[in-house]
Amino acid sequence: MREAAARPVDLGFLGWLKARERKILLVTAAVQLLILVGMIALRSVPLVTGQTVLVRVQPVDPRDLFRGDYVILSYDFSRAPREGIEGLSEKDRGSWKKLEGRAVYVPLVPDSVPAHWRAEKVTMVKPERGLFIKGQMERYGSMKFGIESYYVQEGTGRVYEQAIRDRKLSAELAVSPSGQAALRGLRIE
Amino acid sequence: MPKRAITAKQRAWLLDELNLWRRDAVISEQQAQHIADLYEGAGELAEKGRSRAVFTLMAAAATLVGLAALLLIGYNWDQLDRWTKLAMILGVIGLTHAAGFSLRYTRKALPLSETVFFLGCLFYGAGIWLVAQVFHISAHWPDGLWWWAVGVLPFALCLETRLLHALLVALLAIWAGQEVLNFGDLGGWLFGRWDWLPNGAYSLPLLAAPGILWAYRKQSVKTLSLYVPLLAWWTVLQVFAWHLGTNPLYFVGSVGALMLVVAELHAPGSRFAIPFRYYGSLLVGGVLAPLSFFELNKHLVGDWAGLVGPPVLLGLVALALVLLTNRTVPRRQTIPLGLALLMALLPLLAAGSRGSGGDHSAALLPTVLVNVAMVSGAFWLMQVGLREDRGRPFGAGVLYFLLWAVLRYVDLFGNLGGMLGAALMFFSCGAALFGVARYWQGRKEVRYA
Repeated sequence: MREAAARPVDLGFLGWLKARERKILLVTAAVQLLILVGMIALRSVPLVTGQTVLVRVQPVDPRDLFRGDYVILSYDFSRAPREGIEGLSEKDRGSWKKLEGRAVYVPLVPDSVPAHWRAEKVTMVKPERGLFIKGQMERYGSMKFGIESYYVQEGTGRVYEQAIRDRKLSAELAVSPSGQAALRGLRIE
Repeated sequence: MPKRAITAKQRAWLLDELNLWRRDAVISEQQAQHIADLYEGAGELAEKGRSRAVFTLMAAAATLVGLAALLLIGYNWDQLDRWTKLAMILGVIGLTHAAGFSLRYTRKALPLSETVFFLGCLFYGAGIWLVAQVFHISAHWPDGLWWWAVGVLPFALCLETRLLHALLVALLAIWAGQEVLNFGDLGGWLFGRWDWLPNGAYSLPLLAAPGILWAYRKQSVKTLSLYVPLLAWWTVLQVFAWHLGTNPLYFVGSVGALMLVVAELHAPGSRFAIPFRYYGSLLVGGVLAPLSFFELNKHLVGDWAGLVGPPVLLGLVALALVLLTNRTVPRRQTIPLGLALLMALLPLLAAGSRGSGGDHSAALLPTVLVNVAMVSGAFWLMQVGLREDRGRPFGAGVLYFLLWAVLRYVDLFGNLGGMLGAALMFFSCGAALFGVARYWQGRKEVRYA
């Protein structure tokens, strides 16, 4: 898989690369690490600065609960009918297709269950105050908030599966002031 | 002066010839030795073979170690907290690349350093998924493949190995396929999603272009052979991205024909034409075979709901490429360009007969044209083999001609002519191939007379 070294070498493009090889490799290796650090930093913001809330996890089709070794999570605010979404224009209300990819906000209010929070409404308008989660409209009224997967150690997912079926599973979310949410963990009551 | 590269087979031939020339007093003993010394010797060839074997083994070992590391951390140990896992991921990537630098610039162990850098790039990709796992990120996952490819590209350009090009091509192919086939509704991405633009993975040509340039400048046909199918794959995916109809047959054929035209844009005998011709022939040949059946054409002209614009556009692109580079249509472009124009004409014919309810006369013309194209394509491949003195295109042409003959037997004589019909068909094919063989023999005799 190595190229023969004795071939005629073009000094333009290849010469330019060869002259800077060490620098390019060094910068690329650093960029690889920076990309990972960036991912970590972005995801750590809500965990470090955010408020921790508990929200109830909705049961989903048990056959689809596990793909590999992660739990698929759904929330009571993961779907909404078009008429239930505040701030939609009449034009937007006509088609789900037009809504795909648009930002959506879910203000959270304390629930009657102690320590738990619930969605107050779903709106296209960013709330000016209070705790809220920012998400994105997907196909046919479903919404994604980046908190729909929970990875578990291989072979340990059955406990969560049963807890979801018994409606005893809550998600511990860290929510930043800008509405970014991250999963801290799952809690079985 | 560095010795010229040569294969063991070529060296054996050269030494035999030198012995003969020396015996016949064409050259002196000293001259024979001087010529032999210009090329790599037996020891160097053996060393090269050993190095290649060791490198292949090391590359396979690196891949397995990378997979093992991925699975080991991917097990998601409950006993390890989040920050320990992250430190392990970053540490492993950093240390692997550091080892690569040390081997390359301190110990000058180039092949080993490239294997280690390859391993580092595998760890980097694994790291993207493991960070996502640690933070339970549920995001648009093909983005991970894109970032992985971006991180691999500079390594592929700076190092001498094709391993990283292969990794880059695999990542881009999977990424483009996922974006278009599974997330086509999301809209094109360019610093945000654009609803009006279908998701066509448009950054792929930009990411592939440096590798293609590298392959040409490095005189590496094998590397180009990695990128050509990637470009074909991306072009075919555009049909699905743009929702251009239910039948992509003509478009796929157009892509293949365009690749044949690009192959012939290379200088005569250029080895860089081979990957374009190989994949182009597969695509066009694969499309022409089913289209050569009358029944399929009857169905297509009756209920046409496929593409018209894109195959026509690709046909025009092929024509423009030929005319812009040659100002006229050179003989060697006749069949490739003819195929590209045929692929543009067929959907027009089908669209023109839409609603005819499978009219016999409407289906006859495309069937005849496709059959003529199949036979012409087969003979063109044989001609390429003759022109470049290569057995593979010639053999492929013969095989394609035989395929055409068998298909026509099944199609026309299976229920009609019986054994006598088959006998006639195979006799005609045998006679035609005998004629081609005689022609090649004659050409060879003229060339080497």
